[in-house]
Amino acid sequence: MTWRLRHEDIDILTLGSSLLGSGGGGNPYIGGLLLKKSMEKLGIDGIEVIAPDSINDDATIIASAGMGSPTIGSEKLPNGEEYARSLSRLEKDMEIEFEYVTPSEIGGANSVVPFIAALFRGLPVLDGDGEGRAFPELQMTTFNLYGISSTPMCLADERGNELIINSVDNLWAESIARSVTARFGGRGYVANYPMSGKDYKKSAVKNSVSRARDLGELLSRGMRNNSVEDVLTKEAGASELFDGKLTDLVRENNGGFSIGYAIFRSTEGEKTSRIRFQNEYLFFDEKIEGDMIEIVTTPEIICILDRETYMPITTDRLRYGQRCKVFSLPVGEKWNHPLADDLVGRRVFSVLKHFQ
Amino acid sequence: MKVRIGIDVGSTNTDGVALDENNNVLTKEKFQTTEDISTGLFNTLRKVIQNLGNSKGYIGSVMIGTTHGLNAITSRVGLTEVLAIRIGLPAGEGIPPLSDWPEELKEAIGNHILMVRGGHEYTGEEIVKFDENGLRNYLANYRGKIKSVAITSIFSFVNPEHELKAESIVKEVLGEEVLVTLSNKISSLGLLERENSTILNASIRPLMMRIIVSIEEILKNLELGDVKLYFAQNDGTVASEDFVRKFPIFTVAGPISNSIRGAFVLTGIENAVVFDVGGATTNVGALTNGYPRESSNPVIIGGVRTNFRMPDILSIPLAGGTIVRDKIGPDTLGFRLTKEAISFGGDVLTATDIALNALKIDLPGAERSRVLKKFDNDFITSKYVTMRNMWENCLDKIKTKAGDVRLVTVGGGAFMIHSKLRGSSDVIRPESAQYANAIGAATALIGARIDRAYSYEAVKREKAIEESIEQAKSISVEAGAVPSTIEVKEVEEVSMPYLPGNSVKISVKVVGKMAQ
Repeated sequence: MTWRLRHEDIDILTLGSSLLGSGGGGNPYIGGLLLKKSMEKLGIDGIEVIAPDSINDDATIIASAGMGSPTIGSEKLPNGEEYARSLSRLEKDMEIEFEYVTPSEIGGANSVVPFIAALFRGLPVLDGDGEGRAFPELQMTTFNLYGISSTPMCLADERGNELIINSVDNLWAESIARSVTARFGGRGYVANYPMSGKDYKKSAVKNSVSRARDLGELLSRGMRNNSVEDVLTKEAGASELFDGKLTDLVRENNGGFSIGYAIFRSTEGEKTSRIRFQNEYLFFDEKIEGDMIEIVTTPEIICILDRETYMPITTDRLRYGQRCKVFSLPVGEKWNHPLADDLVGRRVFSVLKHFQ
Repeated sequence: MKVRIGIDVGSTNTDGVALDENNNVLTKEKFQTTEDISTGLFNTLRKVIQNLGNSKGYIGSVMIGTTHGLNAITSRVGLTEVLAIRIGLPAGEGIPPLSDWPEELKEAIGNHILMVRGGHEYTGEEIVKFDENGLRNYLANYRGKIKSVAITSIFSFVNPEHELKAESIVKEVLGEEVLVTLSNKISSLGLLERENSTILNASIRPLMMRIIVSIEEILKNLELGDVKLYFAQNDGTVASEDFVRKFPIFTVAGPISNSIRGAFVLTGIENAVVFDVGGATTNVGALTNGYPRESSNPVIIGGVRTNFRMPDILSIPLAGGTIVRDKIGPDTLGFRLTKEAISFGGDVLTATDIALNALKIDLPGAERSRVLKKFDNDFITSKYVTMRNMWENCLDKIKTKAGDVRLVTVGGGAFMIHSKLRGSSDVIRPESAQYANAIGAATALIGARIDRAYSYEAVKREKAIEESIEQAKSISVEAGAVPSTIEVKEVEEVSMPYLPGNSVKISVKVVGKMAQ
């Protein structure tokens, strides 16, 4: 089904994508504000969202995202046109015109970024993405899982620098883009995974933009009626994992990632749980020492909500003493794939090597 | 003898005390807080000084905690038009200054914005060259029209160079008398929040300067022209009037912190939870090493997201004047409590009436048995249980560790808190609890705090910390501290998530004594 994302829907979309982002995906406040301001500037209220199954097999599609440190992103704000510039530059280089923009991940700011690119180019956005959540690296996508190349890709900065990357594989694309992003001053604007409609239908997590919007509406209704637990578990398929206070937080920065764990204790102090994160929440278990036996593991989504306001808490906002409710959300069947574990399973994340 | 006066503006009452050098209370006064704030403040000050009689010559300093700034921002009255300059293009163009402000506040400060090229990376190198000529040209349009300017440059808390250059250009074009606020002096990471805080500061400067002039005149008329004037800051310390003329934003929550700090002064307990039970609300905060614990979340003031340091406070609408019907509150009698509450001869049932009877406390001027003529004991008990639950939940929320904490209760309604509140190891209600806020103001030390970002790959850790401490000390001297008395209270290193190069934010807090 085709629908339009309007100015008034943006807060709902970013709220829902904060749940799907598993604690990451960039600052949704800044992403949402930038999209609103861009709509106001161009005098356009409404961007088409197209169902993937309705597009032609030979349609041309490009993914759009911001990469790098969200911390820097909260200081060095985008000028708004980088996303579209990156896309246009890649078109020029590939001598092709893209017809649709897709989110590569549906979490935090990166769920609205493709709309900013689409807005400046007058293109529609596809109702899908390459993760169904957010992950820290560019190759951690279902696009990759189903054999789609992330390159040729364009990486731009706010000054006007643009770099076209052609890599031997998707891991190299991530590695080259990551180091150039550092040289750019910590923020890069990406157009990647150019692909056909046929490939998109095969590899994308479908309906994820609608899912983010619906989750946002559910959560916002739950907040108004004081029934968040109910709407999440009964209507969104979520499971409540834990209710308690953050009693220990270990975090360090490693190669541009924020890596660590948070320990929670129930108010009575009897039950404990631990969540490990690497930019996003990745693993949930109930033992707080020794080998872990995960109850929730990647690619399943973990959401931490503030106990009072029910606002999702992102990894950079975790702090000692927060009272939280922890939920898990199903990520969708696209990740049911024999190679998924090699791409986003526990052994690829350095958080496990660091904090045993 | 040296006498210090502390005045604190609360939502219901404006309190004043005079203390000697051993913190003995020489006199105390209470006036209703007036709508303009100033009348109640000035009356209290005059009365406290008058009460001192011939001892008034011993007054060395006056410390004031006031809500003038906060009130102006929330009511949009008394603000000055501000030119908001952002240095950072091409970055940030998509979200200009004032982007997410409430319309009427934007209008109240004139909605003047200006963006130019420049700014720095987190490493301190330039993003692009600063467009000095562009700024000079644009500024010409504002000559004679703008009195207060806010300048924010990207990553200025790592490298303030472009803000400093812009300041000199502003003075050159608009005139030396124009007030300039630089964002690197206000807060750190988070461009929009820092910029907002800087603009708010610029918008309340003239107002606070007028208040300062008025108080100085009052003192001069009472032949106290030499008395030093200080204002309570958000972190429980005070700063001299010259400092507050530049950075009034650091005083907007002064009265809230005063009572928490006062709880420490009255009890000597460095780590505890503090309940300040006033007329309309109970403010719950925490004492950490003798100072109010600070919030790490963005604080929304008058509808604007900010990030300067504020005390971590929970506020619930349950206090002395709270009206009790089927529900408890949230409306309050406020200062009419002592006329209209049942125990005071009126006919409105308040939380005070319930607490006096449930705890069997007799207050001067109150006759609690009047309540029993209208309501039975079961009703009173059940209402008190509800009130007690509200306070207990609040106590639980403010705690950062499992286990019981010490609880200090202050403010006019401190007696209402049960001595065995769940979650507390003991409940301490100091003598003069009612004047904790004014006492907190009167006894505060000069404080200063800075946040600076460093990459430990670029600057050695020891050097970075040393540099930060030196900067904090120089700010505290600017705020009125005597250099030889300055102590470092806190050095905190917070690693900045995601930033490469082993980047940290160093926060330093120093306190010092004021010149006598």
